[in-house]
Amino acid sequence: MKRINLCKLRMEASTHELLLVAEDSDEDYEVLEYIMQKLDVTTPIHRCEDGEAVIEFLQMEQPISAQAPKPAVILLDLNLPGVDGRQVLTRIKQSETFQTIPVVVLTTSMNPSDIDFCYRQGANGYLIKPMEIEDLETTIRGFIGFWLEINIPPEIEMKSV
Amino acid sequence: MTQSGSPHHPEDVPNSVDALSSLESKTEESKADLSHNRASSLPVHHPPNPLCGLIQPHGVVILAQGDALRIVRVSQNLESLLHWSPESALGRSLRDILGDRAFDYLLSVKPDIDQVFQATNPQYLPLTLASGQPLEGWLHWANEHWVLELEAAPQSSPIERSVAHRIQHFRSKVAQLQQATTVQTLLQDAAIATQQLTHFDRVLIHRFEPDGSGTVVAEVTAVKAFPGDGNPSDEAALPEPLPKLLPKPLPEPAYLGLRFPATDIPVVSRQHYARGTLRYVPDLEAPQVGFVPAFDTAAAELLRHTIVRAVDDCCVAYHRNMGVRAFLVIPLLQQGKLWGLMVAHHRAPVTLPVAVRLDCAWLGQILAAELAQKESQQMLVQRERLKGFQSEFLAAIAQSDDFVNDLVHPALRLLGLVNAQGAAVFFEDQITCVGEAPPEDDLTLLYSWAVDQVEDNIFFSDNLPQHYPPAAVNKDVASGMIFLLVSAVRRYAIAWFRPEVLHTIHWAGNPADSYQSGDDGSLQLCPRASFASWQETVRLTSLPWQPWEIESALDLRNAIVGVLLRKADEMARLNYELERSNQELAAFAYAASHDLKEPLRGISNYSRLLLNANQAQLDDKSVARLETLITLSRRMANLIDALLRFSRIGQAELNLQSVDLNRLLERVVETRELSGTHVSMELRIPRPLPHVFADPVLLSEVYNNLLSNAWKYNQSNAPWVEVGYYDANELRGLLASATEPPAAEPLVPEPLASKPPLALRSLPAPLLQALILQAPIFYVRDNGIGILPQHWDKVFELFKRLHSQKKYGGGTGAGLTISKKIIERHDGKINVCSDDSGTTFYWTLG
Repeated sequence: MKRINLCKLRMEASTHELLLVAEDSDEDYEVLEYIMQKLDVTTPIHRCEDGEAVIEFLQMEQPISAQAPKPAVILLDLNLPGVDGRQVLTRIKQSETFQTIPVVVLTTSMNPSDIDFCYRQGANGYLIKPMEIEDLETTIRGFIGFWLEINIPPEIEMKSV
Repeated sequence: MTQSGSPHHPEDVPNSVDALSSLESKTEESKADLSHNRASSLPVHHPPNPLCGLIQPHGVVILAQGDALRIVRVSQNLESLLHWSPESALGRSLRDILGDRAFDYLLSVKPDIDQVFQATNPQYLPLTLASGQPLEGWLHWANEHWVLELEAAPQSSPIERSVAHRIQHFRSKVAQLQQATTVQTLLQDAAIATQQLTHFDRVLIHRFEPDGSGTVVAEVTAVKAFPGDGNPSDEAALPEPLPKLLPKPLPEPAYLGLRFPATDIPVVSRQHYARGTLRYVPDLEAPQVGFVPAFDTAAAELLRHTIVRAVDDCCVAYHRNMGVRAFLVIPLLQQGKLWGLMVAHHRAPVTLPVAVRLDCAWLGQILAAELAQKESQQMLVQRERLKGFQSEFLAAIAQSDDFVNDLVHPALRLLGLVNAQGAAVFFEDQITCVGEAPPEDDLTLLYSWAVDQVEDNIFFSDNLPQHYPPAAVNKDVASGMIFLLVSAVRRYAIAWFRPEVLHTIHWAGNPADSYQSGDDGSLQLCPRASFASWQETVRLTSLPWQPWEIESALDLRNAIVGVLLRKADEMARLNYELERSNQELAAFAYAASHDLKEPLRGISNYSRLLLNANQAQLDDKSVARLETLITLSRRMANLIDALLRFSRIGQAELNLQSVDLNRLLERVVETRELSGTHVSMELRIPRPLPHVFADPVLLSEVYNNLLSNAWKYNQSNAPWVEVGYYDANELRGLLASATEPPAAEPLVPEPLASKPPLALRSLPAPLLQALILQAPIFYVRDNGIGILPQHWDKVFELFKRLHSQKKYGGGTGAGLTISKKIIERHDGKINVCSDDSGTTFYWTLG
């Protein structure tokens, strides 16, 4: 009973949904896509290869419009060329408009100072990229299950400027 | 000795009394029961000076005022030189008395008298009267009066031959002085020269001591040269025969080496001498001469700086007691200060021409200059020696990291710096002594006292017990002290000590005799009757510290402070560089974790994709190779993780806390069981482990690594691992057994006896001794495969493996390196010892 209601809610909410992935490594992205296919993920995925692309995609520097994409969640690599993942995270979490978008970090770094930094900046999750595909699959399955299936994303309110 | 006729100033004398009372006297005579301390506390009455406003009869004094130099007062003996009665001269101009020629000359000299600058006041004024009579004259300016002193100039004198001859004569004497090699011969030569110039019976040179008393440092007497006096060989030393036979010989022996109390020369007289004024008294017994009109006491001040001023009763009696009838005092000035006096005595009245007196004054100036040079030369030699010594010392200190040990080794170097017999270096709560120094408990108290005494970082005294009475018990080592404060905050100071030197002062009579009790119980200064040597033993006093020794101590302080500052700078720079390199290392570690692993993950992932998606097209060999590729990538990733872990342990701050090792070990085992890495094997803990102060997470890693190894490298049928420790007492037992002959049964405590600690027992005794200081020693021992001795060091090298990957479950080869790093971060040490019965790791925790 409860489960049906949840699924119904998800269906309604997901009409404009998409998953934004910031990942510069083609190999890593290919494996990610492979796993997504394997897990039958239907949510559209948009890939940004660097930090600037994320900012551009979200139209953070443009007047706010209703047509602006509203990702349900952002999967963010920290080590991006140019504007790196930490800066993107800070930028999003300090923006009144975009700070409600969940940002989940997916990185190789096990550095405690990185983990601490990301949570302090407002990251909604911190995932380690494992070495093996099988382990990555487990990680991604958990991620999809929570963020794309169970979790209810915020409606990004477009305030008039 | 002389005592001038000027009025005593009551405030001047008690200072001298203080100087006396500071000496501890050994009093044997009844008179001496008049203790010095009492003397200083009682008022000293000076007899009223009946000679105030009088002059000696050999001179005439005229006082005049105004531009016309009108005579307002003359001495009663005016007629003896000028054929004017005092009454007739009063009210006249000096021109009337002296005649035009002499007066005009006087007017020409007058402007040279600078009324402020005392060196030109008075001016020497040799006059010739209209009658052709020569006069010696001096013109003063005093309190709105012109004071003219006159005395007869001798028509001829045996000494006053031609000017050229006099100069020649004088130059030879100066040359003789300049040849003197030591201060002592210089003084002696000067006394001889003065004697030869004056033909007086005796010439003494007094040197003033810091307390104001004077010591006779040179003496020349002509008495022995008298006919019938004995030693004819001395006669040759005297260039000219004495002019006349003398009625009574001066008392023998001489005053050489005797000390005269400060009271013998009143402060007022010293002030005269400090101006460079000669004192000339041709006949002490000659009746003094008054003035018309007579002086009152206040007006008599006008005569204060006249050369012919009268001699007071006290001074007359004093010299009479010495058998002296005439005297001449030549002040010796050094840099404006009174160094001493050259005093010539004669037993009969004598007239000394002005020219001779001036020669003597000149000689005095040359002597003073030569003295200054000689003394500074002597000082220079000593200082040069010290400087050479010192620069060597300071160079050594500059290299030093340990400011206590490098100061006191070698001990002679520290002592030699200030010529001390003992020294103590205070640093924080430690005291390190060299040579002869007071006991440590006394030094602690001394420090607390001395630290408040320092001025400009130094306190010194050659009479420490006087300033600090408790020091008296240590007088044999510390009657003199230099206390040099380097840093009050660090309680860093150096004290040098000198022992008591009992020395005897031979006073020229009991210093207490200078006072006599008056009827009302007050004290009166009185002339001395006896000049017999009166001995005083000075106690609790060391040899005095020389100025250059004090300077040397201060130089040492500067050097130490300089080095300390430089070291602080270096430290700051090193810290900065270290911080920067740490930051670089952190950046490197991050790069390693991310950037190195990314391509590896790619390799691994692509291999996996190939295996999963294209398995049908791959033969078995290709499948095996792709799987190896994945395994290798994983190993590479593990190595990178280990490297990262290693570098983070070096940087991370320790989270130090009290840790119960029993609980820590329980958790390690639990975790291993949970993670499935635990293999069944016996864990032996012979007795409960202690609490330690450490970072629990890191220490767990050490135990985990060591247990891992014990489990991994074990092929025994009944594998076990033992976790334990030895405390300091047990180590001492071991040390005892290690130093005993090998045959003896070692006295080893229970836990050791059951399992002989192989590695510890084989350690040399000194090392074991050092380990005791770091106790307890922890260990993990197994009955595994063991490690060959040549590999004991290698096991701690990063990524060093002793076995192939396939054996003993593989591994990165970083576990022991990381463990070692963790132990070292705790200021501890780790070591391994092994034989075919198993392996033991020992470590300490700082």
